[in-house]
Amino acid sequence: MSKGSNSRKNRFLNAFVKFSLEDVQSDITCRCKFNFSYFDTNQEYGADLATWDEKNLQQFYSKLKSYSAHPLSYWQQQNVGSHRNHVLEIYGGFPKRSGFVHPSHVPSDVDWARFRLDGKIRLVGFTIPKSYCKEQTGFDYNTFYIVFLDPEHKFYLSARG
Amino acid sequence: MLISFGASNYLSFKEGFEISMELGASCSDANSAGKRTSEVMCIIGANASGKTNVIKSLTYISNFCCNSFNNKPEDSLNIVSFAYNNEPTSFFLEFIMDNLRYYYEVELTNKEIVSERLERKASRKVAVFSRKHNEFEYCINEARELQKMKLRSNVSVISMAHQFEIVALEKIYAFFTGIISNIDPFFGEVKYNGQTQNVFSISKRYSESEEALEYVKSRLSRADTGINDIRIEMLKGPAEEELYFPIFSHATKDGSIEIPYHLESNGTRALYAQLSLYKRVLDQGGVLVLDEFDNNLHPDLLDWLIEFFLDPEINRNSAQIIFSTHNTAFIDKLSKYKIVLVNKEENESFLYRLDELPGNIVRNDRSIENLYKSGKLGGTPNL
Repeated sequence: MSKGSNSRKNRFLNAFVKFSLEDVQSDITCRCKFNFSYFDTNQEYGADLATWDEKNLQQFYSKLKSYSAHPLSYWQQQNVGSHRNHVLEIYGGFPKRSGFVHPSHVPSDVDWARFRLDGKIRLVGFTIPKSYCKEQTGFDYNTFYIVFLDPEHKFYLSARG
Repeated sequence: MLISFGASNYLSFKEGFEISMELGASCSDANSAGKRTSEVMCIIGANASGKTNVIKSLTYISNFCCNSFNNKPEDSLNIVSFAYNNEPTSFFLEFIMDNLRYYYEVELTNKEIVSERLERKASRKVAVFSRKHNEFEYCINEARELQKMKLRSNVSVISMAHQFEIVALEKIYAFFTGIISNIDPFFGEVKYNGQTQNVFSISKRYSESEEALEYVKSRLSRADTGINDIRIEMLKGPAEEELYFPIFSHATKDGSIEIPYHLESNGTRALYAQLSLYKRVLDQGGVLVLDEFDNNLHPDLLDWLIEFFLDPEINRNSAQIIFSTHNTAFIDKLSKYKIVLVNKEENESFLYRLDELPGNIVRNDRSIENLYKSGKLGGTPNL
């Protein structure tokens, strides 16, 4: 042991986190974000997180944590179910056939979208159209704004019913 | 040139610390100016973290190697171990003189020197001398006269060799005399900060050297103090001792006015006192060791003083400055290779140079000072 060695210094340096925001292994700018400020519980088929039981809440939290580890574009590519559906579908305009109506507090020109949770449960919301997300506009294409919790899959009603 | 130094079991350092002045291979030319050893090292940390103790260590060892021959046999070595334990305290330094690399270390208690050793390396490392207690273990042939002398338990071999004019160690003694500090070697009080009690001895030195007086005049004038001349006066004290003091001339549009020392600003008084130290180390290529460097001085003046060491036109003898400060702006000005942070846990100090932090959080292309001030690098007070 050299005369200048110091176990407290060694512990401090060993415990010092070895990567920072700008390191390669930090993909923080790629990870998608979820925003709850547009959440709407006033529609007929919309559920309220406040009434969900603990098990559902845990699953919901677990899904959000998992989804937020990647960019939205990643989830658009991930297949799920039997009809070549994806974990995230971005529809664009509000569906013509829907059990919901466009809430007045959501801007008119957003891209409506949904995340698949479990079974029939969908997380409905919107993203900002890519054409808006140029530098200095402040818009973020990688944020999913949650509007509805759709437990009965009533947001996007297909022609097949 | 000082390469590194450290101590263990000393004051707030229960274990060791080491500060390296070497810049290392990862230091870019922009930060090193093509040099392998830094002329500047800045020590930053919270109050009571142990910064002054680092400064004290160099001050102590310099004083020990130069002046311990003056100790009486019964004198204490005035060493303070961590929590006053009975284990020896160690000091070590590495330095280069005339292309030879020297390594010096000493272990001592309040009562005695336990061991003292000097090695040097050109192509290979050899011992110059080595002692255990009051016995030589080894002495290189060119300094064999040393072995005829009786070692004393509180006197450094280097100090003793100087007294007996042992030529082989005279350069080593000169290196330690070149470590010039602004604190008391035993009590750690900061001197040369403009206190009135030091003005007589400082002014005496200026009175004895026209060159030094001209130097301080020109530097004080350049520092925008309004001073255009300094005259050293002498009075006899109560015991007929000679008391030297300065009279400062300031030019006004109505002519020159003379102002005595005690009416000058604290900053001017501090500069008047400190500039003599700067001149000595810059002339001789020594190491200036300053505690509380930023006391009484404007930040722009601090930059100006540091530039004396960074500018090769001014610093022609590879002089170095090691200083403690609370002025965190130096973190970005000097780069991570020239900043040491002192931390304390459970009243034990430890330190690290900023480039020792793992990862790349500390980069020279963005503000390191902001990272430090937000507490992300350690070395800030826990309030």
